[in-house]
Amino acid sequence: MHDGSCELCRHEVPLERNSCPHCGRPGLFPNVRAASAPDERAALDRRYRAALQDAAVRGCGSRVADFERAVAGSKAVMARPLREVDRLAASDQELVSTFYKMLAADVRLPHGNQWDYWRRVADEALFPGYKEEIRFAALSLGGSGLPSYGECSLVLREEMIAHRASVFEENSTVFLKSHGFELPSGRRATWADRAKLCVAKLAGQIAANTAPEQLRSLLLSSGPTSGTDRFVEVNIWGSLSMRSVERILVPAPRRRRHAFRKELRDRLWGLGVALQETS
Amino acid sequence: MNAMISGQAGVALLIDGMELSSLHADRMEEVVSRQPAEIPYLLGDARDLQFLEGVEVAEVGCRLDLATTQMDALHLALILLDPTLAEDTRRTAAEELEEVLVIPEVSGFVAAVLYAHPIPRDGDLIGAELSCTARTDRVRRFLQNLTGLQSTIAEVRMAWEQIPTAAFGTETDRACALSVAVREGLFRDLVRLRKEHASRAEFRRNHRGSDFSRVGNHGKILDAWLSYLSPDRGSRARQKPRARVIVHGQRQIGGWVREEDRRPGSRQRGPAKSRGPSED
Repeated sequence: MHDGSCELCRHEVPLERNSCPHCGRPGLFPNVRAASAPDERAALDRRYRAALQDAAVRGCGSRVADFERAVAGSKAVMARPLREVDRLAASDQELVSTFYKMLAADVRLPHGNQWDYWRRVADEALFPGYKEEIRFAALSLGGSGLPSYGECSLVLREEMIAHRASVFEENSTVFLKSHGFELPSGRRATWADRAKLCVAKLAGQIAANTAPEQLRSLLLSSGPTSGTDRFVEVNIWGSLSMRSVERILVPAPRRRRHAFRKELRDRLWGLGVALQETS
Repeated sequence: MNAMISGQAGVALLIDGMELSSLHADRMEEVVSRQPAEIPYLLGDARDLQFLEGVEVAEVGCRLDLATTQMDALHLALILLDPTLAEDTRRTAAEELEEVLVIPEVSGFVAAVLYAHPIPRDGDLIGAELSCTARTDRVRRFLQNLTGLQSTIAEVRMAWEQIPTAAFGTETDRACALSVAVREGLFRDLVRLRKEHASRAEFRRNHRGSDFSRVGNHGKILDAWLSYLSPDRGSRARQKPRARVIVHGQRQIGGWVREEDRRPGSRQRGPAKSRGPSED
């Protein structure tokens, strides 16, 4: 499949397709195929090796190796408001939708600012013909997500996304906007290669005296606005439900009653999801 | 300033000329400036919107606090009635419900909603009562009353369902009238009065100034509703059958004393179709 042809019928499959248009073979993920392209892999490898070489010269090779080991076990985390978690926990019929699908279904409005335009252009550049299918998350070491998108962090099950997720250097809209919507090679990776991308991006910020606890915030930290958040973006093709989630981090209730939290815990337990309260 | 409040969302939207801001139930001390595009996300799919005109922030805060507590209390009651939830969760719900039922506007609201429809088959009244503790006497009494009133609640609801849609206008008007009737406690009060054999005049008097009096054709709707509950509805229905009259409806007799029956020498029986609410 890496050469763009179907493994079954050997005919060419357009990149944006998630099934072969000739024999119908399903289960192809365009974002993963794009990240697997030889030029992408080669460019990422060059960046990765340069980052390791630089770290060795600076005397922090072992610290970077620690970081690489840690991010190889990183999780994809989606931040959502509590009311969205309540909705998803209500039943197996509830799904995580995408911005474009919600617009098309007339259940939400665009932001009404320039980001609507930039986002559309960036998504079309990165996910040509299939942007409607991409769900977004961020790589995290501790399980915490970005509060700009909601107070609850949904840690996704690796086995539910590894085959259909790719990772991108940072917030893809912010990145592409700052690069004139040109997409340089080597800025995305398959799920299995996510540690390589993280090292290529962040090794330069690691010093010999960087403390282990600082590595976590190096990978993901929130800014005053969502546009200034720092993270590695996870792009997941297709549906997600509570069955795709392994645990949820929620803040301790303020006004909300304890019974509501316990109710959520009971419902999530029925779906195999653990609830973890944070301070 | 004007305001839009939702207890469901726990949010009040403040509209002061062209300025938009919001107040949140979990952080009342902070007024957050907003853009028009944010409104749908703030209120979500809340269906309990209240509109206030010419109010100050402090008053909006009080109204939001009450509306949120009312919705919390209803949610707690539903947790208590849910047999799929853990015993510990239901007990916590009973204890937290006990704290808020002391507020008359809150207990009245919960009764207004739960008295509007019989508890569905998957609702667990017995388990709910078993979840009560020594510290939740108020909740236990509430549940005992709710259990004891189930047949009356069913009668009152069935009578409502028998009102022809034409009396409301359209199906949408009917749904809207039902929503107002529930919110304004018409079902609750009718259930209680029927149980206490009270008069329909008292019921009408209590709701004369309520929002239900703004519902189009409200007088005829009330007449029809009450008529399906009156003791001799069956005989009238037999004289002049209507498509919506069903056998079950004719069994909803008993327990209701009509105002006319209290007047010495009164002989009038059955629903008085020509009478309007002002004549009661």
